[in-house]
Amino acid sequence: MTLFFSLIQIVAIPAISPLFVGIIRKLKARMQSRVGADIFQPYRDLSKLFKKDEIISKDASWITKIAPYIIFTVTVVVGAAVPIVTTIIPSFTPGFSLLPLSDFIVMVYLLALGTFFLALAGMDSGSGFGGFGSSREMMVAALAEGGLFFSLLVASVASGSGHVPSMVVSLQTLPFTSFMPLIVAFLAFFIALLAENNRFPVDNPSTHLELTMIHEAMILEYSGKRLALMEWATANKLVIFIALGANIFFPWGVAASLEGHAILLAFVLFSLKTGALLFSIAFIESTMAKFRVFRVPDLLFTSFVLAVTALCIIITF
Amino acid sequence: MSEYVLNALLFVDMAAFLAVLFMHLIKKDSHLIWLYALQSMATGLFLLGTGIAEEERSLIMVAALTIIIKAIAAPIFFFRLMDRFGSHGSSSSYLSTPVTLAALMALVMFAYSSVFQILGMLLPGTVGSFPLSLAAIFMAIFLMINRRGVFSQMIGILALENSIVLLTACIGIKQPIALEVGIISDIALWIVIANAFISMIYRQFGSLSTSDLKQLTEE
Amino acid sequence: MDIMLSPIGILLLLSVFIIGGFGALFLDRLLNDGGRMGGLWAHAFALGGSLFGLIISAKTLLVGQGIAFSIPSPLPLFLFDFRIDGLSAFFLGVISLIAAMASIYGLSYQTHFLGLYRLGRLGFFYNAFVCSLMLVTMANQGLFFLLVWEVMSLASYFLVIYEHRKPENIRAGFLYFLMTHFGTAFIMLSFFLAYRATGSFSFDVWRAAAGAIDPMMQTFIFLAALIGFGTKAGIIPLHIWLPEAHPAAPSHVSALMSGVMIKTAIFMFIRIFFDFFPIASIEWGLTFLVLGGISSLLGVLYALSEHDLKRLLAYHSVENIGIILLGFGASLTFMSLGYEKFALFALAAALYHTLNHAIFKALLFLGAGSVVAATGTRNMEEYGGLVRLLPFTSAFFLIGSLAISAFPPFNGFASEWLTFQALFIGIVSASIIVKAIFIFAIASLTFTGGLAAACFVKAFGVTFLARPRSEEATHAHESEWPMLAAMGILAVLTLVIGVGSGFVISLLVGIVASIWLSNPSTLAFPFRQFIETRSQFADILPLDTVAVITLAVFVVLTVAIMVLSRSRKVSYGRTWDCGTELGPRMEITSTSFSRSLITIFQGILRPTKQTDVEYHDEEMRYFIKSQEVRTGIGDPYRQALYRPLSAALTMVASRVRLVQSGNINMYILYVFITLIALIVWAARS
Repeated sequence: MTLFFSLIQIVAIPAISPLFVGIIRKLKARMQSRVGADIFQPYRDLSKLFKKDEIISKDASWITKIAPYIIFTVTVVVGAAVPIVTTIIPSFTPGFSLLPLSDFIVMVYLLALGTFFLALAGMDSGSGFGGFGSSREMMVAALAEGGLFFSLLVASVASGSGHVPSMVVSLQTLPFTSFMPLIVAFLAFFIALLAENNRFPVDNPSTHLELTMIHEAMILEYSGKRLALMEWATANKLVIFIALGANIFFPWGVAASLEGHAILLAFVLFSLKTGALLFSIAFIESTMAKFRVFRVPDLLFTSFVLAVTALCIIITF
Repeated sequence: MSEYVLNALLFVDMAAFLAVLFMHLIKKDSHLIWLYALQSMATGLFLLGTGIAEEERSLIMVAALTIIIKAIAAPIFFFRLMDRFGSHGSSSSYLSTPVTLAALMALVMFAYSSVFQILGMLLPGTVGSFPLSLAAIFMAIFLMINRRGVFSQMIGILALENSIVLLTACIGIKQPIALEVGIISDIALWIVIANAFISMIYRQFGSLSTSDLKQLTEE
Repeated sequence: MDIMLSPIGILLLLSVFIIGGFGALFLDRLLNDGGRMGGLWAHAFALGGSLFGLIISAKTLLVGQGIAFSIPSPLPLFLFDFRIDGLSAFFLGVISLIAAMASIYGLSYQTHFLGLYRLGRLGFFYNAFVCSLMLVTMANQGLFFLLVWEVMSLASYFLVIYEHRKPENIRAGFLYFLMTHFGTAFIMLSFFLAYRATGSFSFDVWRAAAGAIDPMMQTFIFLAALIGFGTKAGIIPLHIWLPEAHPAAPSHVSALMSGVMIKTAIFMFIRIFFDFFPIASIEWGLTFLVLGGISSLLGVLYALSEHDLKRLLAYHSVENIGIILLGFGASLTFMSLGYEKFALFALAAALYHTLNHAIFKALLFLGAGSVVAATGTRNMEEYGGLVRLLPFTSAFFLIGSLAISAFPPFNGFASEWLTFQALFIGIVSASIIVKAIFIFAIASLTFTGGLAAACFVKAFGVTFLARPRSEEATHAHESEWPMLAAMGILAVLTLVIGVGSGFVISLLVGIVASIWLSNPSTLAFPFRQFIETRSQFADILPLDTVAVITLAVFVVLTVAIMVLSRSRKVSYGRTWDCGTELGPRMEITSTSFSRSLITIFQGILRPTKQTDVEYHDEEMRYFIKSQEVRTGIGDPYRQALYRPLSAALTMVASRVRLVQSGNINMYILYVFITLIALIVWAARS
């Protein structure tokens, strides 16, 4: 039973991530008075890309060829350790569990490994777009890491553990009054989510103008199956962040066992929480303009300061 | 030692002291050398007297050596040096003569002061000429400070050495013979070297006055 | 007790280096091949000596028994006391490992200097340098230590100015010489104060007299040691020699200097603050935390602004020393608060990062050396496309970049993770000030990690990827096998030590514990026991699981995709160029890559920009003929700290110069006055 569950956990996030992207696009379209594409469209887009041929730049090296695989692997590996409906850690044999992957520092740095290779791939083709995309991406990543790390640290200190599933379990039993610093930390986390996933107001995920793209610039030279992997990996990363945000900072409802009714309840609550988050992302994208590049650091430092404030509140009381 | 001998030694010591004093007053280098010869002779006689009085063979030999080398050979050598380079006796000084004398007086009074009285009383077997020899030492150093001219420096050091010998003889410290002989041989060697050295200085600077030798520092 | 762990063994070790060094000079004189035989001789002997050192270190740890002996010396205060205990064995091991790799590298790297400079001299000073590095860990007496420290500084100085026909190297060497002696002066002060307090220079006496020293005196000893050893470690603001000297030296020497020489300062910090004079007050721990945080942040920011590959790596050394000091400071703080177990843990984190930084910094410097030797320039703006021409070097450099940016499962991540855990413990401690400083430390470590990754994307990307930006880069060729072998071994080690982090942590905890648990008379320490508990430590950070899972998923994924799309074609075309011909000036450069980050941090970095424009017609300034833009980073340390200091010194010196008039009479007057003064003073007392 647990083996089956572990396998499901590994493929869960890659399976549902295109759906989440589809939902965001549909919500945006609705807010912009359009009909919008079907929420399952991203699945069709991915399968279309997988069926296409590829063109690789002559100036590129093996980094370009291997980067999409590494980035996708990283998102799958981290995704396997993120609690979606249960806090049980997947394990294959007794003694070989995915517990070490669920340490929040390991997660943050594994995702950063993906960003590293993405930036290298952006520079590899030798086009100006890719180079600047990498430069901006590393700037955003370096500054956003502060807010991201500290918001997760707040949760870790509040729960007394460094592993995400145990954090969820402990935070479920926390009294409501001491939840205020976690809300502040969630704000910081949300800003980091927007930054790391190339969403408004940091980056525009649906543009190809050189002045407005960060992430899109780096994958500009990709086509065919590699482009499919890159887009899929981006979607995975979004779902990872959303799942972390929903389950750590609003941990009620996450099941602690594999019983049927617990799972069902957890599933419903999870859909509600993530639905709310997806709606907020779509709302921000439809109502706000993208920031100028040099206003982004202010936003990211705000996220950092919010997280540090939350931390100070937690450790003094 | 008998009263007679002590008096004689005091007289000789005074002669040495006066020699150093007059070194400050004279103008010509040749007079300097004569005075040095006088001081060396006095030192030698002092040692001779002490040696005879205490019947120390070694001391008599040293005295003889002193007289031969310091009082006779060195002045001959210096005169020869002077002839070659003709330092025309205008060895001037930094301070004017009255001020020099005042300074000398201060030094002598310092040597006789309470600072050294205690020292003098502590040491056994001191002949009464201890402060005198000490004053001679100070005056010899002052000679080096006050005078321009390489000859004054040379004579100053030698006079200083003589005064030290006198001082130690006064105190009664039995210098090991080896030391005394060593010093004398050192002087002999020094004479040989000074010959070459003086000629080099003269060739380089064109004069033997220390104020002209200022180019030792880099500007 | 076998021969290696005895005095004979140590002396044999020293003699290997002596033969290597002098033999090199001799062969250089004798044969007329420009010193090639001499250089090979020297590096081979250095390799042998390093391996010997590694064996001694390993044996000491495995047997759990240190050695101490002294060689009689003719001088009164100077005693040749040797002592190898757990901590020395660890540092000796690190030094030997990196020296061995650098020696293998140097076997073929030195031929790049053939015909330009005499290789025998390189060999001689190299052997002297490695030998003195090893001796620093073994010296057990203050004056002996100072002697060996000075030999180390001098040998490295001569290595820095080895390429003496380039004036910038001479300048760099001079600055290094000044700063290292500045530091040595403070170290001497510290030792003399300790002598004053305990009556002896022997380190054993200091250990024994620990609690009995006046606290005021101890504060001064610590302060002087902080400045003195801090100069060698490269703590900001005493770091200004690092980015000048490390690039100027030959690359394998840079690897040694950056990887192990600055760690000897850490070694002495541990000795002074933990071993000799224990229980420093909490302010010292907090001071180290603050200094570490500032050094790491500023180090990485300055590295971001560099376009000289080796200077960039040198600034990263400043950053990593900052990280090591974070662990060290946390340990001191815990010790003064009484949490001994946590202090052990934090110090183990600091030592782990010492080991890891030595390995990956050496790897990076050796890689940079290959690149510089292949292209003939250190300027990153002229590189590009080297990944095809130098495939192995680029792969190893990539691994080094991944390690230094702290990505799992490499070793950099393991030690940063451990440091984080140590700092987390500090947040829940007693007072607000301590908590605030720990939060600052965690923040600086977080940002440092992100900025370091940004910097290495730039370094690797601009150097190796895309198209060549200059003529020289198109003619580069791969390095010879010894250079590749050295880099390869180091790259494998980064992975192995990262993946085996549980085991390594247990080793380090054992080594740290040996500082307090070793028997002073027999020098035995319970190292074996700690190894036996490694299964408990293995659960701390099982990076092997992470590595295995990642690799498994990667393999499965790649195979699956390959199979699914086997009928799809992959063709090669031009990069999208909007219709023009893409030239080398259309790629991103290292300066522009980091421009956005420099602009964000311009308050700290103070970038400057100077533009010179030449017009076709000076009266009607419309059409520009040529434009020259010079960008730079402000140097606040020279302006605010060093220039006023040296101006003050020069002013005092010119006043004092008046004393030296050149007049003989004046000098004799000085002697006379001193004589009188002494007589009067002696008579009075």
